[in-house]
Amino acid sequence: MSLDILILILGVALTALLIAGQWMAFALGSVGMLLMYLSKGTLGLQSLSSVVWNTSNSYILIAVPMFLLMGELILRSGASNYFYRGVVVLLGRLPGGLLHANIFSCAIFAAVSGSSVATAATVGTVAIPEMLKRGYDPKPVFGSLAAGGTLGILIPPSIIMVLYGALVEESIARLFMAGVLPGLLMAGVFMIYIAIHLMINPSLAPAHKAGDARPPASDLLHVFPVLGLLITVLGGIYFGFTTPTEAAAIGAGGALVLAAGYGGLTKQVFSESIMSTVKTTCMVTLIIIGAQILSAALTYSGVSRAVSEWILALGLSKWTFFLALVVLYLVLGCFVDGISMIYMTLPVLLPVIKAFGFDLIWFGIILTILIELGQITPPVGLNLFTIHAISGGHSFSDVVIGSFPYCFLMLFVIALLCFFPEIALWLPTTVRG
Amino acid sequence: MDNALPKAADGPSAAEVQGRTAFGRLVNRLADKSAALSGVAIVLILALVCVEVALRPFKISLQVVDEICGYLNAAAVFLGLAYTLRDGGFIRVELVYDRLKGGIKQGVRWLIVLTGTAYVAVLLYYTVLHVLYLYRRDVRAVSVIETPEWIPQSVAIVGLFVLLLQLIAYVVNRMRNVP
Repeated sequence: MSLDILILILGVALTALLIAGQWMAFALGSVGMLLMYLSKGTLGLQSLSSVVWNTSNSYILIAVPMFLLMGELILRSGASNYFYRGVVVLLGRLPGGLLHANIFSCAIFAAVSGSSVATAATVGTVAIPEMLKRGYDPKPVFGSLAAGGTLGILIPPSIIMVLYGALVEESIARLFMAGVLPGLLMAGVFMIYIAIHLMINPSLAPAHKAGDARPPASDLLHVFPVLGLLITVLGGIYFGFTTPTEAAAIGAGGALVLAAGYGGLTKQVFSESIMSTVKTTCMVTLIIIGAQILSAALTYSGVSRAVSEWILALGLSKWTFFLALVVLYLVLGCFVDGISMIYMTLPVLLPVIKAFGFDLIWFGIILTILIELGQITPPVGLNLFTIHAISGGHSFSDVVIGSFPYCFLMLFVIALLCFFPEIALWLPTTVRG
Repeated sequence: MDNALPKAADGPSAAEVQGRTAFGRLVNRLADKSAALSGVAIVLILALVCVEVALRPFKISLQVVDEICGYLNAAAVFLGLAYTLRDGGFIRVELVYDRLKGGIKQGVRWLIVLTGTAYVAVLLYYTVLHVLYLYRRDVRAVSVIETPEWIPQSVAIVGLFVLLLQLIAYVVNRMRNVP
């Protein structure tokens, strides 16, 4: 069968299944299977078993359930609520007050949990009622939470980076290091934006009154346990004491201790955390298995090479190609989740990205930011849905409008990273040489 | 990664709807039992890796943690598949699906479940062939304990089989509880 027809069948089948609402994992895998069969017959299908087994039996990917479990335990045991109270004491006095507390708590908590949605939901559940009660305008509140939640996949440890690193065979430790400064920069940009926004329009936040009840300063201590856990996990990886997988398990173990310390480790919390981890791990891994089948099919059938050669033959300049990539991921991000996005596109695009001479660590950081962006762009932005679900009856458009400026802030950070790649690459180069 | 979300508890759960037929009850039991094993696998990974790290300062290694945890991770994944599918843990592009109604929605559900069933059936078939091959040739892992490879890989067969049964349960139930 000619390549053109194969590519046509691939495109039509995949689009049709995805739009119909086939589960992502099944859509990717079944189209891959079809492509294998059409190009190589049953001989092609023989490789299925090894793709399936090698994906699930992977030492690197064990980090995924462990990081998930760490986040689940902290989330469900209530340790995260204490953490938010601590941050309120720390940052409540800045212009924009609790909005900064949102960004900061989201940044740290998201780093620990590795899940944007869980973060937005957790911090949001505590923050939204509190802030609306105090008289904050809802839109900036929703925006800060939806955008703040996405910081978790950029600030390490990050499950997206584990998956990206496993796919492109780059060091996960280096990726984790590369994410730190851009993550902090992004949080900083968000906070500066909030401060400026509120200086221009002070009515969005309530003024401080002398008689306001202040939370006790001792609440500040609650910042340390979660922060300490994060530093232990990352420190182990950065200084080479532990592999990312081991660090993830230590993180989960530490979260157990933390949950017990806060008195939140009931039998129910424990079993719910485990079963939720099971679910997410299965979901993520089956998507990867499906995407690996598709990717193997693309390689066997020659589609991968044909598309790569076609792109290279267009004679684009390095940065025109990059711009096209950004647009591609922005559009995909409106509809598809981050993991599928990475695993659907990279098998085809990776050779081209390498041919243009992009640094794969740097590109991983850019890709992560683009995935963050996808989580706050309508119509399918997971964080928007999450915040809307807990907004207490506010309209979806309030959430979208509140989050919209953050899309530009993220593009701004991407532009900064293009002009100053050292922001991402300095730390991994300095620490490991 | 959205199942940490607080969910509104309205109406019967997917498992309850499925449990209205005898076959559905059987699949429920299998899915729950294997998911429980999947949870156990996660706890074992946590324990093994932590013990390995804790022993490192004493220059002791269990030698097999990488290998065993790989198997456990695979077990956690495969044994949890049916449970995850039944409880709506797999993600999809909901944009169109959630807006469909009546006959069209039912038709789309058949399409989703039937293509899904075919996919899992083919995966299962080739996994069984592969495990039989491993067994006949006595293929062993390159490791200290030289695990016969067919043993851990059989877990994939079990998991995929229960997943297939879950998909068939949707057909038996005429798509009533497809998430």
